Amino acid sequence: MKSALTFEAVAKCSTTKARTALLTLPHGPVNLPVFMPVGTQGTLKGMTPKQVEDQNCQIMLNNTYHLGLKPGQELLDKVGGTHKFQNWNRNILTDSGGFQMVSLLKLAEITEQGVQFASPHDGSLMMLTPEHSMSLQNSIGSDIMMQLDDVISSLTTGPRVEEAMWRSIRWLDRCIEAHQRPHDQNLFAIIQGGLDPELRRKCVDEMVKRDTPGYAIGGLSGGEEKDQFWRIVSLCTDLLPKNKPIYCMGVGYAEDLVVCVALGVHMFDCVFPTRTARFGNALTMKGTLSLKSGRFAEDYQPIEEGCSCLACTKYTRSYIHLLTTKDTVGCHLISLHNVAFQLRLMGEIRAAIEKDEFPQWIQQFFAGYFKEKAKYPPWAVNALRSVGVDLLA
Amino acid sequence: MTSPFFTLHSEAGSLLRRGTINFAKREGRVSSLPTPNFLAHTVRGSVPHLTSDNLELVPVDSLQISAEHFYEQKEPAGLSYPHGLHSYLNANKYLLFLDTRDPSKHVPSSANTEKYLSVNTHGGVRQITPELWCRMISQYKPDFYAVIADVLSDTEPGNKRVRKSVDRTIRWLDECLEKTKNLDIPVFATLVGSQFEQERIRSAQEAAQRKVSGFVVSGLGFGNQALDLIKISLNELPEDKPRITYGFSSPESVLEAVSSGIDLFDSAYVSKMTDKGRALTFEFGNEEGEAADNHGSKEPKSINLWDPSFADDFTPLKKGCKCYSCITPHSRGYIHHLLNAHEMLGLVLLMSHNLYQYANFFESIRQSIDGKTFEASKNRFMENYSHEVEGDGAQGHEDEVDANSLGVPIKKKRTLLL
Ligand SMILES: [Zn+2]
Ligand SMILES: [Zn+2]
Repeated sequence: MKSALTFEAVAKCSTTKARTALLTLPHGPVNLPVFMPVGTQGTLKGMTPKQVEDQNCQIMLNNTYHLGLKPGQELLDKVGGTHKFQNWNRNILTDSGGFQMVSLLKLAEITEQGVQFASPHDGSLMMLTPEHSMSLQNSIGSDIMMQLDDVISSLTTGPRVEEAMWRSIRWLDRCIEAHQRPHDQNLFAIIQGGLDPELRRKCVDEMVKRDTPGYAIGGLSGGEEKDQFWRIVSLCTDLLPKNKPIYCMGVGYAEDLVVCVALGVHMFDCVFPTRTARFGNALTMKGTLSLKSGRFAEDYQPIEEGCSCLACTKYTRSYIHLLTTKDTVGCHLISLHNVAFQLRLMGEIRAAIEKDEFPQWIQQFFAGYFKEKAKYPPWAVNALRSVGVDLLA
Repeated sequence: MTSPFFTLHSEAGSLLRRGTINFAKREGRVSSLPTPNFLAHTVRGSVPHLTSDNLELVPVDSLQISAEHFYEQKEPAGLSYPHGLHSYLNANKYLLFLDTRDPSKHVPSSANTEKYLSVNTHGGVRQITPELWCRMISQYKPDFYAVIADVLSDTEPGNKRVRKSVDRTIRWLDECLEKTKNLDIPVFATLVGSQFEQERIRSAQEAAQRKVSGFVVSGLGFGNQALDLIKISLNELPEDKPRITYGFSSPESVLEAVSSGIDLFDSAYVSKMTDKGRALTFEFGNEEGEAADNHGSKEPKSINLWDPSFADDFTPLKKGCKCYSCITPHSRGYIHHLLNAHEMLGLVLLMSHNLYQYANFFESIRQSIDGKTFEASKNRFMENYSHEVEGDGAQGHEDEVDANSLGVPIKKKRTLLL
């Protein structure tokens, strides 16, 4: 199908499957691999678009379900999409809305037609069809839009998994058919198939035939064993074309990002960095600081030495401790830092891949983040061993 | 020779005053404050909702710091920090005025005693002794500060209690002046006396005899009598020292108090309007703006962004405003959406606009005093604008949701009982 992006490979790690690339979308370049902060309702947790831009963020996420509810499709059409509405001139990715319906609304049920749900307004039965999801995302005007897929828990087993996989393929066809703006919005397919390698293989086969501008690995991060998670991710990156972006949905913990990049993934998103900021948690290369704790009352160091964000260059842990969970400014400062942290982590990863020093960088990262080898998560050790990096050596 | 702390530009004897407060020159910090002016209200040292990079986009020179916000734990926050409060708050650009209580709220506090002042904090009731206060001053190093005072929060205290409060306040003043005399930080004396004329006069006369740089006279808690009561105190003060007041931050009361000789105000009004989801739109001394609406009804001073009628209004908060929100421009519709979606950015944008407008308001007041048009502009302002209470926009607001845009209705019309 038509694509509104270009993908240029830049560097490849000679040990792992990690790759850097330059993705050019309708609202500018995105250096891959990338972490995309989540601005659910058309705003990134208290940060002004200028602050987000000043952090060199090139793409963020908006949620279709939330924007559909507030401000609504009619208003989005009137204003000409969410870029204009929120004054964000860089890229936006939206999900299909289906996942939120299933997780937030009563009586959500999947049928061949679409996701059936009770209207949060009056309880009447409604349906999110692939066509309607496309229509909403066309109104939002996101640079990357996701197909509606048949979402099942990653713990589901039996024939339902295969049914969801085939239905997602059928829905992809309906999405492609309904998509009104393929010239300036990129539709990504979502690979389903649960934890079954055979189903994943079939799904990739079918979806690659549709030749969408990019692919997401779906149906994971739902409580499955991490050892199953990475194997599926790795299988998918092996099977998917090398000249298109690969997106792993809902992944955002530092160690998960490092491992998934090594397995060949390009794009990630997660609400965690901004959500956890509200509770006073600051992310660093040496682990998380819970700034609510009294032990920071007289700690006059920055959150993280070497971080160039406002919170770290101008404020102490002590002052942020005073504000945290009481004043919105405290929350804004930690959010600024956490977003800066995620972007810096990805920047370091890209630089290491480009110098072909990624395996050494990984060793260094794990040593700093977990401090001792005994604390390295076994699944991460296994995953990295599968791509030639032995963390315990 | 260094310039005097306060220079008065208006003629002697005039109640309406224009002046300049001069501070010691410090790297990167403004060294003079034109008056009338305001001290931006802060909570725990930050203007509500604004990180320092966002505050920098607003023309604010001075911040009001309330010590009670810092005294939640056993030791006041940042007291052991070696580089002073400016650096601790990342407020090196700003002139910091340190006082004990938060002027945005007048809440009864626990009783003060001969030995200490009580403050209610997030961490419970804390006591500030003159010793502690002087230690805070010498560590925090504000640009100017008020000495702790036995301000009474009861509405009608007895004469005996008020007399005690005047005596105690003067004693604390003497004690603090002695303890901080080597710091070279301008000291302001707080005037007390509650509703008793004689005690107010005594408090003001005693304070005026001390080596202080200025005075604080609060109108908080006195309702309609506030202006008359502070006038009694002002009457006893020397002309050549600046006066700060609390509780007169609405535009109308700023204008009244400016006419009565007040130089510096708190900005609680701005924080309150922001919390109510309102954006300031009034003008002062600008013929064009005021002429806009004059067919009978009075113009509101602010707009309520919770109002659903703003949902599809894609114009900025106020035409011609140069604040971050209005020049971007973020639209009324977007800010309405942010409030309706309970997103924090809504309050960030409103605060940055409101503070900007408030700074403009004071700039216009100073210009009109210089141009001798203040009284005329004030009369026009009182004539043109509505002076009704500006309500909380969130009150009675029900979230607007466009549930219909989430999907398509299912044909077989079957309504479920939830
Ligand atoms: Zn930082
Ligand atoms: Zn403005």
